[in-house]
Amino acid sequence: MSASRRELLKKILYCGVCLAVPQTAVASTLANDNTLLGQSNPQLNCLGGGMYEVDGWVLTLSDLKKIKEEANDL
Amino acid sequence: MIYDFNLYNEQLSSKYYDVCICGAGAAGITLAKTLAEKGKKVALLEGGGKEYSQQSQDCYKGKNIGMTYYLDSFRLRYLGGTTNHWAGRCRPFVEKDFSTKVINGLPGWPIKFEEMDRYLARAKIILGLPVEDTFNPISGTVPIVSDSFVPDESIVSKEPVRFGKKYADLLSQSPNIDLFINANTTEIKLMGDLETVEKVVIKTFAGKKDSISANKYILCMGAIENARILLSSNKQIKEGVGNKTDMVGRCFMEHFNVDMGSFFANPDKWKDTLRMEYFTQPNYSHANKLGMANVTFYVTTKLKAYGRTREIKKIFNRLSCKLNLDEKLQFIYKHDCLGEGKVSSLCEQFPYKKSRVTLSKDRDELGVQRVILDWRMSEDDERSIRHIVVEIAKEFAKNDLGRVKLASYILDDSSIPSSIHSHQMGTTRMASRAENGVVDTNCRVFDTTNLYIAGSSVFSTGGGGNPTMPIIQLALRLGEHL
Repeated sequence: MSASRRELLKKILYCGVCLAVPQTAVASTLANDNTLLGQSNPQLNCLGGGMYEVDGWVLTLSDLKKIKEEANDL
Repeated sequence: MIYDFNLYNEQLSSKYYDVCICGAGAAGITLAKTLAEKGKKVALLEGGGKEYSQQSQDCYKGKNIGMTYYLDSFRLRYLGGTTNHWAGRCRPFVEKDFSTKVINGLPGWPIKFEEMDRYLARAKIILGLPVEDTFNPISGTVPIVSDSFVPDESIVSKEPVRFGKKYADLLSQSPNIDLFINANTTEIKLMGDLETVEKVVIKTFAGKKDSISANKYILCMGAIENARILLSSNKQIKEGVGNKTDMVGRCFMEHFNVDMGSFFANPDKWKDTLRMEYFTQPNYSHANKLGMANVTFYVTTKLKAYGRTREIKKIFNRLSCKLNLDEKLQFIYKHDCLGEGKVSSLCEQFPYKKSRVTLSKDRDELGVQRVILDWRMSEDDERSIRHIVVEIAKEFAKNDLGRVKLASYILDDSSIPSSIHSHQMGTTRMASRAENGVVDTNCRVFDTTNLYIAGSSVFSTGGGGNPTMPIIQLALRLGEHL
């Protein structure tokens, strides 16, 4: 896996982690930790109604949970 | 009768008409027809000829100092006006468009929806549309469960009416209409009271000059040109005609054509559909102080994934293939999904005084000052656009039609780029008081006794639909009033 792909996968996984523990200090810390993912750290924005925006994608809660689960299994 | 003013030998200034209409496009021809049927003697003035000419079109050239605009290419300056190349899409205003609201310090429409709506059936006839059962969702648009959007209901005529051609026989045969082509309106002359129009000056490119007098005058030259002729008729009043409150030319509006992003489609929902269109739910827009908007999702099978989108898609694909993800997830990420698509829009622009038409020192071949257009997007517009696109992206996902990737400028604070729909509106907006507009509820220019305006320049707000049908409705209304 190339470094760029790994980076993107990391971001997706990272978003999933944030999602798994929403509204907590841990999620907040992760969301603001630019050192973890560099300056292109994706934002995880809660859009309300169970919808989230990740790196421009508007996804459902189940989308993100699924991504996290599957990525963890890689 | 139709006369070529270049070849006309009589002195027009010796004639007198009930009504003089400047501009023979959709509004002007509708008004001429309506008034002639009422027995009024009408002079209809068209600056261009029966066909396109570059010389005439060049009068539309001007300077653009705001957002990118194309002053001399999207409008057409000959008999029939811009209907000579319009696409034929019609959608009337909705009732909520007429709800009282103040945006950017300006009030909305001063008339009720019913005053527009009661002319809908007649407008359909003018436009060659069936009177009943006209507006339907675009074929293939999937109904969604949503409080904020509904399938857009409009009609695209298979044969858009070219007013100059469709009504050529009427114009040439009506005993009450004298249509003068190649008769360029170059100035409005007022009487000594500076409130009553005495005559309009007309010229040809060959230098011929005359004037026409009438009991009433109607400007139907298009949103930019209506403001231009009022402002440039400034020999008697420095600020121009009807411009005591400095509102002429202000509140220029378009429909924003914003590229909102791209999407992956759910093939189970899209099947053979290549296009789905949704319209803001009027109650939702009103409650959230949003503009009305049409949002169109269209599959662009030729579009190639690029940059990070491609990388993400590859990763998604890898995940979905390797890990046997459920169907709901796979359709987003699989490479063999129906295809990527784009999300485009037609968004209402709120009236905004700083978005305006003014005059240049440069003059066209006829000696009329050219325009300077400063088309601007207000903060309320940006807020509205961002809200709309995020909301429709959420509904798109909720209803499992696919997943949207928002354009970067939707999410950050950068300015939102917009192209145009060629719907010029609002430069002589309708208001109940001169402080907020240029024409009153009867389309009469404030502080004048016999000067009226028709066309989309009188729109107080632009709504989320194509303007031609409301232009016709308002022209019919004015024709009835006069």
